[in-house]
Amino acid sequence: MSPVQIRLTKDVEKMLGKALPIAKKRGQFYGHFGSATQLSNFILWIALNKIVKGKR
Amino acid sequence: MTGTTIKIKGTGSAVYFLKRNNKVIYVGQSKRVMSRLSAHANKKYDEITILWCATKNLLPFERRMIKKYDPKFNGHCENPDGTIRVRISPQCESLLASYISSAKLLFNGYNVSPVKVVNSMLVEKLRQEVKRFGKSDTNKSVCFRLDINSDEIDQIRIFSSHRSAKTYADKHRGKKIEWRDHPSEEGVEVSNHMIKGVSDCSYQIVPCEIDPVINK
Repeated sequence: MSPVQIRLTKDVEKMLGKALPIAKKRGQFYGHFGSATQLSNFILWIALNKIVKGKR
Repeated sequence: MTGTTIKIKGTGSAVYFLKRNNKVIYVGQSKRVMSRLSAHANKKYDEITILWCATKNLLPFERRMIKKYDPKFNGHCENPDGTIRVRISPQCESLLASYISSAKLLFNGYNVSPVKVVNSMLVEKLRQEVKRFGKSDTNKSVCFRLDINSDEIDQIRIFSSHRSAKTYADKHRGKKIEWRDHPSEEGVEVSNHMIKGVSDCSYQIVPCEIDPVINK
């Protein structure tokens, strides 16, 4: 399966820019958010899990 | 740049091109070009072209030029239109696929694109997180906390302190668990304990697909 690439809208991009340094600063648990991709995947995973598994 | 003389007329904002052997290797823009150029000493260029440009046109012009020349040292800018693309991890991808298929059923075949779904979810979550932590950034004891009702999620992973994760979770059942920046104070045991089917409580979680870096 080829990886899906998603283009972010400007507002998401802007917020991601704010959230990333915050996440990076947050000690050892957040050291792994080295990029916007990692952070957005983390957030997406949480959000989608809630929705998809909540509907079962 | 040894032995090269540069004569430049004019000041102010500009888009500049660094060339080597008549090939554009870098396109940049700056409001103060002369001071900016010194930052590119390591690029070993032999020619500079500077196009003076109004400040408001700098960014679009630079992007157009990057798109046109595809310079070697602008490699990090994958999208000359300036947008970020994120690569969705396989876990997110499969969840996204199941979400979209159910959303399509719900909307009677309405075309739901992954891009729209991802962006709308990210905008929602990021807004919450930035609002929550943007101001209280100095509060070391607050972590990236996500309270999730466990009936909406059937698998969580908790990284425990000196107790095993199971004992720890059981003890705090029904309470919110707050992870601290220095769990070693409580005696850290790097335990990737996974708890399944936890109910009637909400936990702060670390999702399973990302392994946290725990400093001992």
